[in-house]
Amino acid sequence: MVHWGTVIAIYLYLGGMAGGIYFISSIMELAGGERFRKAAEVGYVLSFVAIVLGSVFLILDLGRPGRFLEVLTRFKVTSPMSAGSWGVFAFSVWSFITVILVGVRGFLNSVIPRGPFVAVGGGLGAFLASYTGVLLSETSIPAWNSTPFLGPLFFASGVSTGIALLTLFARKRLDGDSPYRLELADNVAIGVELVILLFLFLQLKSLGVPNPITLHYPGLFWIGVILIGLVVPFVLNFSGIYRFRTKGEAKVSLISPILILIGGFILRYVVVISPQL
Amino acid sequence: MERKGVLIDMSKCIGCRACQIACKEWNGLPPEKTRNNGTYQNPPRLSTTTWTLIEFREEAVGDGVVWHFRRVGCHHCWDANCLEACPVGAIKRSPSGMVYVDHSRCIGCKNCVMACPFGVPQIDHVTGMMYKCTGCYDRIENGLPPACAKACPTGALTFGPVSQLKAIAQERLRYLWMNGYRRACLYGDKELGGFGFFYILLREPEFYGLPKEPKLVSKNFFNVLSNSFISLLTIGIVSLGAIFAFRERTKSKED
Repeated sequence: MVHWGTVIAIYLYLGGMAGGIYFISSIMELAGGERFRKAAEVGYVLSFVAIVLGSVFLILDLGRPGRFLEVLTRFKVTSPMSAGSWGVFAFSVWSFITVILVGVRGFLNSVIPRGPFVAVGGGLGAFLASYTGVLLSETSIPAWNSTPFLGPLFFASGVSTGIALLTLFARKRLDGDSPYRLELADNVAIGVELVILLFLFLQLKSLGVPNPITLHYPGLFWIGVILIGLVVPFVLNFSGIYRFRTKGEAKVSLISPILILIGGFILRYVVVISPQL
Repeated sequence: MERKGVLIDMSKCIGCRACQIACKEWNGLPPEKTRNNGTYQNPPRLSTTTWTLIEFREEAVGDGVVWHFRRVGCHHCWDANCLEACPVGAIKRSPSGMVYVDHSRCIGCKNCVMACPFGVPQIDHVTGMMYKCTGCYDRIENGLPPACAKACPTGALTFGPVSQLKAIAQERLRYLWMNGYRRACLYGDKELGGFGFFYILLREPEFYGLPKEPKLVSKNFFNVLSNSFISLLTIGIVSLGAIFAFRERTKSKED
């Protein structure tokens, strides 16, 4: 019986993406400097919108949505859901403050040091994107609890889908070689995600049962997640990187981000639903 | 208060289901509409209104059929995964050791359903909350045995302090072994810190669909640490990759 269904898959998708966008935006301006700021600011706004939307789905999935604030009345170390709820809360507050401070021009630089502030937010984002995987691991569902790779998998996917959404919404602010740099960062995330999936499947093999993640949706997984969501975007990004290296031109591609956003959702859907069937 | 429990001796169960009815009576649970699907097991599974159930397993022996019964319901584990996983503290332990739900707290997150290795917690789609056996802590704390144990006519359910029940179980197990039930075993005397409701089974746990080694999930800090460690490692690798991708390098060329 499926107890955590589509609504939870949507939350995991939006939450992972929210964390991933903030994470990548903070690195963008911390490592890349001034010229990435405007794009990063779009990222902070997107991350706030995504976590608010995600939280709505999370609360809607509760049997008693009206009581959702109960989770913020205590902290339990033994419950990843409790730790996660606090993580979602902290991240929402942080990204909200970021959006406000970014809107108040100059305030973030003069009163609060911008660098450390967005760095903390990036850390919270990384926690948010990974905890959802750890949450699944702390259950009695064999496919989830026999592996430590779900947290890393959701993190890598959160970063990749985050970059994709950022590329779509900030495309007008991506000048010079920045599309190329986003493609480069995206391929790091996709590459890591593919390696983690390999480790994950090798480990699930040791259970001695058919892979519980692909069992019920093999087509959806291999075509939707692997091909559409990872391999094709990886190749498209690579051709973009190659074009920049040889001809020096960097262009925003819209196809690869859209494919990544589709694949990222299918990943959550299959990983959440299939092992419960 | 000393930890109390129930010894479930499957070698004495005759499948009368008096425990099922007594449970419904005491807890005010309505009957369910069910269908005859060729077995005496009825209702077919645990639900929000069936907290104790006798499972009927049939085994073909010679020309006939042998029934194997098992009482299905909450084990009131000492290391209760559901209790640890509950983010709002709605699952509590009574002074006698019983694990129960405080319905004024439950938010219906279903984390307990995911944490329990035995499929005990049930979600009601109308109230949105979780329901399960309370261990009749309301009776025990007032000096009465749980309704199921009170109703059992054969002594398959024995109520008492867990330490005493374990001694009774050992003795009974020896008796069973000497009388040809070589596969008889205890289940739940050590698993998950020891159940409050533990079994004498006539076969290995897997025969009854019970996990041989139920996993401790929420209190398993090694698991959390290994999970977090690999997550942190991945975050580190992706961070380095992203910093490499965005780092300022045009300046040096221009100089």
